[in-house]
Amino acid sequence: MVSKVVQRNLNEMSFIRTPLTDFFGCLGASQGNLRCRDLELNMMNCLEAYGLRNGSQNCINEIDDYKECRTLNKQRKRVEAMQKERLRQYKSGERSKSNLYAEPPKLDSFYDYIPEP
Amino acid sequence: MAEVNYKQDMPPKGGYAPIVFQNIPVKKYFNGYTMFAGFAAITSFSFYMYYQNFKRRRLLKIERQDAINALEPILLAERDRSYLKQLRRNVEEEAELMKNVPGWEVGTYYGEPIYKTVPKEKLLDPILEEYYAHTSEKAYDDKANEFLWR
Repeated sequence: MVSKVVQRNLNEMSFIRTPLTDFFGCLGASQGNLRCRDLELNMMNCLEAYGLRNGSQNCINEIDDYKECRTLNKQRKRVEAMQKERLRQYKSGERSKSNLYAEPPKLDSFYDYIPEP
Repeated sequence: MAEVNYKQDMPPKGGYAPIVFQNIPVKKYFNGYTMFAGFAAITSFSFYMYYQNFKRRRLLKIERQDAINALEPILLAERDRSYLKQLRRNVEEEAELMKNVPGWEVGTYYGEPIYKTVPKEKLLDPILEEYYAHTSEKAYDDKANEFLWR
């Protein structure tokens, strides 16, 4: 079964090329995204080596990494689990109210390194 | 019939002055050529003064840019330093928080790594939610709705 990511990147290997193919080709890619560009190149290299049919099975790690980078699903679930655990500890009495949350980081220490694609 | 003493109002002797109704032109101080010359003189003087000020402002701008150039590396280095320190603090907080959860390893989702092909040494910058995972919602909102002009 061909994943959606692969299907989307089929635009770039399209058989029929028109001037609009390159014009809209950047929409499926994330080369402008500093965070995901290397993962996408890894995935495309792997797919190029194995071909589309075998690649969707052999390159499942690369494809999953690229999907995770674009959707951030696993990372958000991780944060959710940690916050749930923190609240559970507070409600069951293992954690005092003064100790409920950690000190916030300095306001200017976080810089958004992820430009939106 | 009594005689009434009164004096009839009459025009002054010699009559009223004639009413002025013709156009009296304003006295002309400059003719056209003088005004062109004055315009040229004032404009050239203004441009001269403007250029003097422009040179001064340019020097001030260069001085200010020099100060920025000297300060920027240390400010960026301090920002990166506090960023990395906070990442380390987050790891410690997570290890302390999730020590009783079975199957949990630090940096993973129940033992399952976030990225499978990325080596462990490589740092992929966390998203804001993860950076503020252990803080209160208010601290996260302060950062997420931060105004740059504050």
